[in-house]
Amino acid sequence: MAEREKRPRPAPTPTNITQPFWDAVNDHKFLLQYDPEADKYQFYPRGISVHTGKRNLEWREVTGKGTVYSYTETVIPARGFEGEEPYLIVAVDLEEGVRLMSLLHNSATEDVKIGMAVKLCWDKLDEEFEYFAFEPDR
Amino acid sequence: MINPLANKDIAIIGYGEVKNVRRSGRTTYDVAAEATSNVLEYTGLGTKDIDGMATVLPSSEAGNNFWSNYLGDHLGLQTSWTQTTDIGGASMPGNVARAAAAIQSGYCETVLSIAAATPTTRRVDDQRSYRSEFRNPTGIQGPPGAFGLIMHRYMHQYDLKFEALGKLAVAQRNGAVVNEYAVEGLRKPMTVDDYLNARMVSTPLRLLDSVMPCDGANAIIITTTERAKKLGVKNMAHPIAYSELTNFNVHEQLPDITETGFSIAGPHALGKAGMSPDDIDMFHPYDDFLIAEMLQLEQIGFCGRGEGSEYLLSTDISPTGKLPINTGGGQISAGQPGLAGGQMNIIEALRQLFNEATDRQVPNPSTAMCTGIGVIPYVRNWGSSAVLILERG
Repeated sequence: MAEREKRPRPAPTPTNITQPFWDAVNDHKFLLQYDPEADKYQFYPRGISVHTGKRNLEWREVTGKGTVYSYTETVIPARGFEGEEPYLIVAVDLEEGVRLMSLLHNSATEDVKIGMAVKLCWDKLDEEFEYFAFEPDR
Repeated sequence: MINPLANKDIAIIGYGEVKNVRRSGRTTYDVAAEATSNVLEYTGLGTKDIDGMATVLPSSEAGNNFWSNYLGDHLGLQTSWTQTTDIGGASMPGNVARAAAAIQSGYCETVLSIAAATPTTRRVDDQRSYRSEFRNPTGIQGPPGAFGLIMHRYMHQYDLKFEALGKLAVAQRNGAVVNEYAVEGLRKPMTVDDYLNARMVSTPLRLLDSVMPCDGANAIIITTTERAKKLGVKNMAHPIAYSELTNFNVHEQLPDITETGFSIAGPHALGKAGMSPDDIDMFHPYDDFLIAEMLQLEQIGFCGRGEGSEYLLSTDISPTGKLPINTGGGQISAGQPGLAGGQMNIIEALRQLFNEATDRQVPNPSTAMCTGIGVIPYVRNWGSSAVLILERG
């Protein structure tokens, strides 16, 4: 099979809703939206609380610790990931009760198990921008 | 339970379709025109007999916020009711219910429900919200990646036998082999071993779990049963129950991703029809991936939760079997013409109900269930679930 041409990894364009989130990620902090009335977090960031329908959301910094809910090993790469395959994607349940998805670093495929402890880490997309990923929390 | 379709006053009187082709080089308007011309010829109607139009917004025209205006204009339709639905693969079964409601409310009498898409020739969709910021930068392989996550979680909670998915793949391929509208490259028989040995895309999901994108179009005509009788049509089928659910479990931040809106929409549609799964003569589920069909079998109630593998292995799903499934190949073996794929199963159900399926005819069917699936939300199962039950008129 012919080698696929490497394209740039897609980078998020922050919006008026997500700018504080991405600013924090680039400072190696992870913020979640918190609804104080429902006493619940939510992810991804929205303009409204899915719990109460109010715009009472606060940003709260969280530890980024969680467990693997599910995983998949990507064999045919997505746009911008050509040549990096195979690579692991995990769905992670954070301690704060929200589910996230991103790359899993520093783990062999055979070591990934549903329920294993992971923590957030940081991924340089380019000189300008960082993204969040996960690694085993040993 | 209120069922506006209970008295069978709405009829689908014909179908028309276009052969699925990869990179056809044709416009969405041209494939739509061919499907429309074919359904008009089937029913003996002209463009001036149509006063309503329902369609789906395809990725090949997604930049056009006047899509239904342009499409109706191209087809030569003057309409008093016009509808674009954009709940993905649930849009076309959804349009049968929407058209029925519009007809019953007096906004129009005869609706062309047309699905056309040419995503392998032109693709201009631009989905923002969570997708551009939280999906694409992760490297997840789109829908196959999302279903890889769903399958591994299913395997954690239940017993998944890949031989069962292989059996389903083979049964559908047998349908595509005798379906002249299927993508030509897929009209070759395959075995369960071909499925098991297929290349992985995003584990444990294989290439042969997936659809092959293509260009295509299809159309049906919906009117009142009274008008259908006056016209003296050769065939009709009544939509007798419909149920739809969008953004299942959206309030839950840690949902069970093996569960979908079919756990609500399936029993609702059956309840409206006063039926149990045993009353369904054939099942034409939306099939973006094989596992999606297994989840639907379980959640609509053909078998219990987690019993999908055993059910598929122990049930004859061929056209002459206990529950024929996707007898024309489904989208997995006939090709997925973008969101126009969401009406292929309705066309196949009509062909069967009208006893026009030749080599793959189900013996004398009187009922069919068709489903639709739309969108993949952020780390969840699909967003829209639609269930349509048809009965021969």
